[in-house]
Amino acid sequence: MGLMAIDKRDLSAFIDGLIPQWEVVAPVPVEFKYAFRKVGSFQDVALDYTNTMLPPKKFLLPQRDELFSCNPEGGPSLTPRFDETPRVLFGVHSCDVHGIWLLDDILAEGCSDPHYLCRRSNTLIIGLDCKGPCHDNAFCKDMGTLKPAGGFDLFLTDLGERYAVQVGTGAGTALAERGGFYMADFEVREEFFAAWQKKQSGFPNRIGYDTAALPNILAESYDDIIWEALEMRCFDCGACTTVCPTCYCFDVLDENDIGTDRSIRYRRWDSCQLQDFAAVAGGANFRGKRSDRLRHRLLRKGKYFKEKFGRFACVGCGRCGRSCLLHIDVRDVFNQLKG
Amino acid sequence: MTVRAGVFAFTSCEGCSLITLEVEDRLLEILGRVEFVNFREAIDDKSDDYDIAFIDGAITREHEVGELMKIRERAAILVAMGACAVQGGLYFLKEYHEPGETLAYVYGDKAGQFDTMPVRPVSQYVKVDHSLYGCPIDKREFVEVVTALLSGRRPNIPDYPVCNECRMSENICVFERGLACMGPVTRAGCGAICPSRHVGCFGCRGMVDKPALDQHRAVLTERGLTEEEITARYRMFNGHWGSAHEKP
Repeated sequence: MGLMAIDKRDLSAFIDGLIPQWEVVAPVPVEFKYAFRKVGSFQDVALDYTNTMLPPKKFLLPQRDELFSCNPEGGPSLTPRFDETPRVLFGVHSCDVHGIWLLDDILAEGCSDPHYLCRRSNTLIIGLDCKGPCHDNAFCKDMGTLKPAGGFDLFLTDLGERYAVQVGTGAGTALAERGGFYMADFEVREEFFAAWQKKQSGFPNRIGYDTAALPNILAESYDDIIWEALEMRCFDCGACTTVCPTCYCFDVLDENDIGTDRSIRYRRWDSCQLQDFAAVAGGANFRGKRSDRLRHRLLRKGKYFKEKFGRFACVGCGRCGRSCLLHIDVRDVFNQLKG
Repeated sequence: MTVRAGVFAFTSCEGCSLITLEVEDRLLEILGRVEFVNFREAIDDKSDDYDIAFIDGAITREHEVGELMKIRERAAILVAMGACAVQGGLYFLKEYHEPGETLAYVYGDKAGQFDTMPVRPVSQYVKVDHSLYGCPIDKREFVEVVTALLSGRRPNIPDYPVCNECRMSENICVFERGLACMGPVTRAGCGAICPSRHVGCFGCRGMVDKPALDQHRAVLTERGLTEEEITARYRMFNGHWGSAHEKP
């Protein structure tokens, strides 16, 4: 879609104007880090933030997500629970936009996920370009996520006095009609192009080869000794998948009220790295070995989804590597496999 | 249907017993289905007729063994409640001193009037059907176990490390604050209560079934802890785990 622009001085009025109608979520500082939180005013937003601890997926797939309640009185009845809160995710970097864009495809495919899709259809995404590599282990450039290709309504790029605004959807167009936005003229287009060129050259490649080769490299790695070597650095804690923008696996649990027998079925984030993730009735565990679990995660990130959806399930944000206590970093593993 | 339950305290501070009464908004709901018939912190009755027994405390004296076995015979379901009952708790620290040394330190010339024996968790003597972990137990988990038992389902008790809940809560890792933490090997379920308050996990909930001990040791060593400091961390709440297994 088209390119528009908004002057910087008009951005705060635009965002504050959304707050009465939408729950506006944006990055805010948390001590020396950042997190996506509901904000009460544009003033709370950290525009120059580095990668948040958790990606914004938590507003589309909450850590605890109630699916339905069951009431046994007067014959059992199920009441599905859907979160229809109108929400704006503001300030999402291109890596995280890519993460959401992939979840959109995965969770709409086949037996689709109505709870995710309901939240998603009530959520607008206003992205914001980062200006440089946020961490020394971010490899977004290698994973092709330096600029968004879908999954956003508006996407802002800082041009100094104003922002260039890519409009991704009709809902984005409607947002831009609220005032402050104008069509990009030749000058904006020039500056926008220059900003993109500058961004591209400002990000280093951190994988030593073209990632187009990754699915094949991973296919050949199936019996590599690297997986067993990694075992010695893994705790089965699932920190890596918890902080991943594209991980969406969940466990389904029931909670009941002993007085009335009313119950709630909810889901909570699960992780393929936990020991009992693949345990089934009868006590079998078809991924009981830690090395099998590690390999499974890496192959999902760099092979399976690429083959199925045409895009990697890794956006190169580097969160997993930074949250791993013994520094298992997807980027390093990808590099070592080629080595 | 109501069930009859007893809460029995052995060597402990009885704090876990009291937690069962602290469930506030759920207490009346529980009392509608659970009739406590033997619970010295709450009632005067001392009935021997009960279906569920909650055991609070470690076993440290001869007479406790007999009492515990009698309770086991009477109860259809026995729940070990809290770090002392499940792991021996802080009392297990006594086992790292010479026999009689702590007794003499605490009771001086009256030490001879007290009997003591090696500290052991409840499971050393009787079959434990369910465990409630922590020092003290988590009151939501108490409600979960009671609810699950009354509903005939398995309680949802995690077998993954505290790190999982900690990351989910979007906490800054306490290792990044320069603190040491038992979270990577400790059973979750507390909601990462200590790291959420900028304190390293002490490991009170005991370890996950298969803890990554070598990896944890590597992290602690990398963060500058000495062997002595690491051992002290492990002994605090997980001493018995060490004596029952090969690793400390």
